[in-house]
Amino acid sequence: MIFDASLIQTLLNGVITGSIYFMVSIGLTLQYQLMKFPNLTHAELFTIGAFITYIFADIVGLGYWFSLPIGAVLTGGVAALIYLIVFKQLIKRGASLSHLIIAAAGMGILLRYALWEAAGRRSYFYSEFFTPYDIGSIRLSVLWIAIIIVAALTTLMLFLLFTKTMLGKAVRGLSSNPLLARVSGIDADKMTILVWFLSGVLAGLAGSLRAADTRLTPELGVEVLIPMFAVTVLGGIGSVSGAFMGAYILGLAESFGVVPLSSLGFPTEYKALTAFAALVITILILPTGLSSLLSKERTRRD
Amino acid sequence: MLKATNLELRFGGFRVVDRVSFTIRAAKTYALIGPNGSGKTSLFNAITGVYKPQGGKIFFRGKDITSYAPHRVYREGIVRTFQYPKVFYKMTIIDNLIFAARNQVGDNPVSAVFQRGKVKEQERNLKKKALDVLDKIGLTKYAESYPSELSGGQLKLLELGRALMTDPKLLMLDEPAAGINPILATQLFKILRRIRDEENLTIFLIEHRLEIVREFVDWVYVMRSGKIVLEGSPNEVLYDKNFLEIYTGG
Amino acid sequence: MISIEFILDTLVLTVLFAIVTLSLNLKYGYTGLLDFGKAAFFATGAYVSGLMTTNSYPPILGILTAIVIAALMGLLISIPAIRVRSDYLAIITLVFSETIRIILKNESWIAGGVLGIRGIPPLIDPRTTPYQMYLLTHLLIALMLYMVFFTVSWLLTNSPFGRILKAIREDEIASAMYGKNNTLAKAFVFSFSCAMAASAGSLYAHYVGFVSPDLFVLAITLQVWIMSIIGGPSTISGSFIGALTVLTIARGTRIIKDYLNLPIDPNNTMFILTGILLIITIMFRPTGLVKEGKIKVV
Repeated sequence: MIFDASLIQTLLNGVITGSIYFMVSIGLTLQYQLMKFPNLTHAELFTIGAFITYIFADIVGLGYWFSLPIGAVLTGGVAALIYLIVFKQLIKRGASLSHLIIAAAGMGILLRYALWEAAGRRSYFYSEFFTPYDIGSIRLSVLWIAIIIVAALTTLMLFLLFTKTMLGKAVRGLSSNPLLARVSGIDADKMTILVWFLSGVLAGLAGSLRAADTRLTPELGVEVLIPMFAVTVLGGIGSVSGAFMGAYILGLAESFGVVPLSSLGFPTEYKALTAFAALVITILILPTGLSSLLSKERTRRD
Repeated sequence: MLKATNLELRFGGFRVVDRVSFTIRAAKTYALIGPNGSGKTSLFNAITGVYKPQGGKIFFRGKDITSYAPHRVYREGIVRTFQYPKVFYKMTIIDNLIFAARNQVGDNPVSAVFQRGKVKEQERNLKKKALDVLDKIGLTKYAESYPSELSGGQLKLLELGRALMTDPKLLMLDEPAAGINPILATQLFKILRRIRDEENLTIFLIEHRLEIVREFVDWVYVMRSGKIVLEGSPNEVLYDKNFLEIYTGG
Repeated sequence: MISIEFILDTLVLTVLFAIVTLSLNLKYGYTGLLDFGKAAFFATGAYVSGLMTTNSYPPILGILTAIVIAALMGLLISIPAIRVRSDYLAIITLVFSETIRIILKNESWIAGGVLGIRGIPPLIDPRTTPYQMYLLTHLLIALMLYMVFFTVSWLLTNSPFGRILKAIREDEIASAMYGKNNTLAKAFVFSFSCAMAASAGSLYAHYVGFVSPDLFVLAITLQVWIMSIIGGPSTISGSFIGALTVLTIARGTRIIKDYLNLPIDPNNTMFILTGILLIITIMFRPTGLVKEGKIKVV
């Protein structure tokens, strides 16, 4: 009886974590395939989104739920700006892969420490508090349900976007075969801005949700840095369905892993090792990720 | 010297090298010709270990080198040039040449630090040899320059020069004169011929230009769709009644 | 404001970071390996020395142990790392460094957790020497270490081995086609470079007196990167020039900030600056100040 309930609870926690990981990784994986380099700035957008939401929710006073979409969209704008100001210029100047990675890392710490400076070394909390309710022996809260619903909606919308709309198909075409895409008249620049914008929106959304669930500090992005990359590599670069699988696998692995760990006396921070292990194993055994296992009928990754 | 039996290389389901057998005898020059896409470069790749063949065997001087990785193939004495020269642009031309030489004491990091005297001595010798090769290929004045200053034809010469630095037992040249103007190409083959005769080299080359093949080569293999479909002395092959059909893909 | 002590202190840090920068130059500038975990090896050296000397082992043993452990760690990591492509290497090394940081931060039974190790004994007793002499001695020790690594690195890169490194950076297949053992070369560079960084870390631990998990942070790795790039990544002397330039800028801005009385946390400014410098340098002068030279064996 009790075992069943805590099993469901662990499952639930894993799904919640997985949802956050999924949303933040979508942007990374799409950008990675499009730009061919891992965007180390992405984790900071997670944090920035949460802060923007905080500003609107608690300083401007609009409340959490209204501020959530605002925060997401503005974060998308920040992402697009970063692309336009920094990376588009670098690519124009013929920057190599190493250079792009280095610049992304530089941008990342710039943002992170600017945030430290602006926010200071303290935690912030949204004034909206989501009381957990006990249904039977399972603990739930409105926020947690919201996280799962948002992730589900995101999945649905992306699925529709990429398979049904011209826009979505254009983005996919651009990622897998840039030359052909350009020749077919796709405006590569606009598409790229769109992808960056979208990744910013999703990261900001995920960040705001995560901050509401835990707390808001400039370190928020750092906490998802490793899982984000683990999910992207595990799922296969460029694959949203891969990110979906990877995120939930990792989320559940962490959630279920915590149980034996704590019973052995290890604190829960060791879950960071789960992501690291997943990353290294994937790179060594299946560098093209899970999605490559599924794409027998397709020749390229997603 | 080199013998292949039923060599097979597949990409996906596609047989790029389809049960190929041939023999290369010492001190003779062989040509591999055929239309584009017939598998010539893939055959070279299979022999030199860039790709591992799925079937068949390759023997070099009696040794089974079928599964050897590139650096082991090199150690056996086979050197191969590429159609698009793989030179190092961040190194001087003379360094590019010296790089190719065998058994350098200084390749080992510990020796590079602690056996400096020996390393220097070998380097001096190699430098002399490199200058000698540069002289043979006519690029002496470019010794301390960088490859970016060379023309396409000169890069091909450099590629050849690197191969010569290795004291090869078998020289495999992938389209040594492709993409360069006819005058320079003739010059390249003149140089190659001179060196070959001086050093008694065994050469296996891929080439498109049939007129060069005729004058330079002892034996011709014609490849098409992954198979060797015709072989013989240059004149036999060129005047074979099926030749035109094979070559233009009938 | 600007005193002799301030200058000497800056120089000590410059030389120590020059050593770490040199290790990155060998790895990235010469061999093309994208290492985003440099801080991890520096910090490991610092931690090992700290742990050993706070447990009454002599400093020299601490430093030697740090070097050996770092070399082995580097060798271990190189096994998976050198087989993968550059972007994956960057990710693996970055994540490796972060993981160690998180574990150290949260495990109080290993090396003091978030507080780190305090009270690491200095190399000479500051109570019996005037401060300037104390600083000068540290500077000389650091310089000697740097000179040793400078010389060894110079010998390595100006040799056939150095040619192999440059070849690997540009075209690995071509390197293998000429019989060079790329794997061994990369493994060697990896572990030697890690050992170098660790030795600098050891000295740093003794100089500063304490270590914390914050030494593992990505920002420190990126500081080394900007020093490497500004100085000229494919050079030996660029390591010092890069370290000097970056530290001068950092300290210079701190002085200006103090002078103008701006209420900004100096640590944050340092890293914000690092980020800005990285982007600007990559955009406008990615080859750095000192240009890559020819290989001079004889």
